[in-house]
Amino acid sequence: MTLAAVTEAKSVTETVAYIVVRDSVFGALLVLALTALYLLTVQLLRIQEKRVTDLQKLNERVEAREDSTRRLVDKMTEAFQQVKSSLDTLSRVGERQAEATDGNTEVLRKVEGTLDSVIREHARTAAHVAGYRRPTLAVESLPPKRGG
Amino acid sequence: MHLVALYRRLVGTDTATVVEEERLSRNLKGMALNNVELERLGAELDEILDEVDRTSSTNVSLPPEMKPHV
Repeated sequence: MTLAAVTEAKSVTETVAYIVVRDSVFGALLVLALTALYLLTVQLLRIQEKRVTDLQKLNERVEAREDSTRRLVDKMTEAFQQVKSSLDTLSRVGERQAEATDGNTEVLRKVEGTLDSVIREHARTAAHVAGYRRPTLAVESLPPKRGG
Repeated sequence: MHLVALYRRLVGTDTATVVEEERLSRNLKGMALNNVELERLGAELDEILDEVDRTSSTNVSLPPEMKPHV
C-alpha cells in the first residue's frame, strides 16, 4: 500500500514536472516569439516611415522638375510663336523688297536710257557746233593782212 | 495601449505610403506629358529651321543688276 502510493505519487510528480517544464518551455518560446514579432513590427514601422519620407522627397523633386519643365515648355512655345511671326514678317518684307528691287531696276533702266539719249544729243550738238565754228575759228586764227 | 498606438502608426504609414505612391504616379504621368510636349516642340523647331533654310535660300537670290561685280 505504501509502495504503491509512493509509486503513484512519484508518477504524478513526474507528470506534473513534465507538464510544468513543457509549458515553461512553450511559454518562453511564446515570449521570445512575441518579442521578435514586436521588434519586427517596430522595424517594419521604421522602414515604412523611411519609405514614406523617401517618397515625399522624390515627389517634391519630381514636382519641381515638372514645374521647371512646364515653364520651359511654355517659354519655348512662346519663343517659337515669336520666331514664326518674325519669319512671316521677314518673308513679307522679302517679297516687298524684291518688288522694290524690280521697280528700282526698271527706274534705273529708264534713267540709263534717258542718260544715254542726253549724252548722244549733247555729243551730236557739240559735234554740230564744232563743225559750224571750225572755219570761223580758222579764219580768226589767221594773222591780219597788212595794207589790205 | 502601446500596441494600439503601434497599430495606428502602422496603419498611418501604410496609408501615407499609398497616398505618396498615387502622387508619384500622377507626377510621372505629368512628366510623360511634358516629354510629349518637348518632343512636339522639337518637331516644331525642326520645321522652323527648315523654313529658315528655305526663306534664306530664296531671299539671297539677288537680280543680276544687284549682284556685286567681282
